[in-house]
Amino acid sequence: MKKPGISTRLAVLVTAIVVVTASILSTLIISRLNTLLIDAAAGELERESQMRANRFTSKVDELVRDTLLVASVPPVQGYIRAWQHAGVDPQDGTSAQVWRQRMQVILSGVIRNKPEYLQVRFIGMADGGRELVRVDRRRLGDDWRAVEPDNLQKKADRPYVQQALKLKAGQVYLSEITLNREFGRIQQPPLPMLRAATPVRDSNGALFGVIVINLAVAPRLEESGQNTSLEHRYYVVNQRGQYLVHPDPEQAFAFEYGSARTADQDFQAYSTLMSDEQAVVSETFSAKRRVVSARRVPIGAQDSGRWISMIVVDEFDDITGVARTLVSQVAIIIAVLVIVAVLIGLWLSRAITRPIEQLADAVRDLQLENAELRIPEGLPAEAGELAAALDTAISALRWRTEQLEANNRELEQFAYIASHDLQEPVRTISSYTALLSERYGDHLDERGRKSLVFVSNACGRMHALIHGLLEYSRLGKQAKPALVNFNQMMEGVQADLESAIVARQASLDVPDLPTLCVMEVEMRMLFQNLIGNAIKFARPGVSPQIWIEAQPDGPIWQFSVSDNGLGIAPEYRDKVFMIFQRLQNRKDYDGTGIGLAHCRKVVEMHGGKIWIEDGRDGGTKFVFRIAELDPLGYEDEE
Amino acid sequence: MDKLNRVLLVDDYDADNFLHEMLFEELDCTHEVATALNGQEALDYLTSAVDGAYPKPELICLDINMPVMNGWEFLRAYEKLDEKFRGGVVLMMVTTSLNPDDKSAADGCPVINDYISKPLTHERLIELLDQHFPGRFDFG
Repeated sequence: MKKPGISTRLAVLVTAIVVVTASILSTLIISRLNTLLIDAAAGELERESQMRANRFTSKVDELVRDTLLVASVPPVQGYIRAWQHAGVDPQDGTSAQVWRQRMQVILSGVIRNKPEYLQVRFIGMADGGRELVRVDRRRLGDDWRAVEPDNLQKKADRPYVQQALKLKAGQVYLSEITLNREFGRIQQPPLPMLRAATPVRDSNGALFGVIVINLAVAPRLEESGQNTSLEHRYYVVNQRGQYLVHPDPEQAFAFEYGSARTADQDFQAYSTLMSDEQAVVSETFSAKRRVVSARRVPIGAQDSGRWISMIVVDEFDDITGVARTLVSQVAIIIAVLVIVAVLIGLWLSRAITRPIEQLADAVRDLQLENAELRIPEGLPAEAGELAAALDTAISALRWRTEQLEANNRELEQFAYIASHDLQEPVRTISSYTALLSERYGDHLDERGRKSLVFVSNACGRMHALIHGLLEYSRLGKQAKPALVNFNQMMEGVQADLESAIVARQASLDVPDLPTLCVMEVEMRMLFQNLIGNAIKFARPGVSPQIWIEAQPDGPIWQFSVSDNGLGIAPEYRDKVFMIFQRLQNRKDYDGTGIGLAHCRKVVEMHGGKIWIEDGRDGGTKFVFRIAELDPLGYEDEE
Repeated sequence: MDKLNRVLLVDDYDADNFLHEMLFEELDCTHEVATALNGQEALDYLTSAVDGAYPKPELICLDINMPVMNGWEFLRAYEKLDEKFRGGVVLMMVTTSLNPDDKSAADGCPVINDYISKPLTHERLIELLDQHFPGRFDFG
């Protein structure tokens, strides 16, 4: 498994760095941004709830002032005096009627100028709390009217009347905010209302009646005081937690219709929110997170126990929408950065690996006989060192190779000369022995003639040995590798061994063989030797059978020659390849014993190995591996 | 039988000369057998007049490995010799292994008529004489 190259590693590394850095940075920035946004939103919410509270408060204050103002106008006292004195004001003789009319004028003025007032009334305690003057309008936006005396109602039982009567002068009773009812039924559409009432006393301080103003609070409750870019949800609750204003209109004043739902069910931090006059909390509520700002507005006296709270809510999602937009933009930027980083990484690594690849090419192209290693330009320092080290190693190799080649040449020359010069005396002995035998044999006795025979035989063997030695030393000297069709070569070998094959009735099993670039003569001799041996060393009485096998293994070819002959004992399987080694008596099997040494030399010349395994039926199997030769790597030997 | 006028053996090895001399004499195919121990001696012999005549042997048997002047060097000089000094058939004697290097060199040289393996044998000599001097001998 190849390790990833420099390009890959660098690209991966750079990408990883960019991605990690950008992710960390953007995460940090975005979370910080979210925090800032939420804080800012909280501030905004506070301001809004403040704003709303102020608007409401100011209106309520105005209501209180108006109530007190109305209570203090002269017609009030005038009427009281007149009423107390049989309908005529003792001070200036004005009738109660007139005082009443003047009162109506004033009240009309008030309601006319204050479109949010629904009713302005002067109620006396007498006669069951009968309304003395009443101006009203039915709904916001309607015209006001002054109610006819016949239609004035008795209001003594109304709680606001009773409450107001308990107050001192100058104090104003403020009611709860409720929906207006007509004849006991909730007026539709619903009209939230707040009543202000102040007692009226005569000059002696005795209670006479009350002034009541009804305020339609809806505008003041609901309208928002400022434009905000975010969408806020706005609630108003009373001190019991009942909704007066709710984003879902059905929830507003739901308590008037019997709903028991209160805000503490909807706000996680309700108690916190309601405990202080103002509070801002961030809620993590049912997996939706939001910021809640609540501002409490008391209604009436501080100890009245009545208040409403303006609650403004903003969802985190809405707040952080900006950040999310930013996230997608950042993601795009990161993607672009990653691509740029990858490109830079690739370019960088290319700049590094290219000279290294060039160096690799230069080494590959190198032929040991050629000129020096072409060191490419622009190698980074480490690769430059590698190139220099390679160069030195190659020079050393070349020098060594030259030495070895010189040594080999010397040895070959030595072998050649030695065998050449050895031949001559052997030849002389042979010739003269023959001469003696022919010409003077008769002069010798039997022993003498036999002696000459031995001499002659010995010469013959010596001659053959020297010949074989010479051949061995000359193996491959003249060979230039060429494409050899092994099938054709095999046919030639079989032809050469024909007589032996026929004589021993040998059979040869040859598969389809390849065509390889090898030394032709030597390869042929190799096969001829092995097959010849297989025939020669057959079992007596058994026809020799020979199997050839050929198997490719990558760039290498593995051949085998198996026979069913005598076999070679394991302890001799190395020895047989040594030159001049013989395992049989020289009398029984002729041959100089050079053949297998030749075979090994041929195999080794092709970069391979040869060894022996068990053949069939106790025979021998020669196995050898060879590689094709490069026809360009050989020079002609002279 | 038309004997050769003379045979020149050029060989530094006395054992070979002795044997070859014996063969020629047994065949009785030449009037004279001369020997030279090296190329230089052979040249001297060829260019020395005896009784006013140059020897001009009809057959020269030439060895290769000789001191002073070997077979090749002799041939180079022999080629340059004037016709009046030169002999007839030139046979190159090569060793039994018939070294391919020598053989190819021999094939390239026009002066050499044939090459023979040492040692010369009775039968081989008859073959050669019949081949290079056809009709002159009848060895039966």
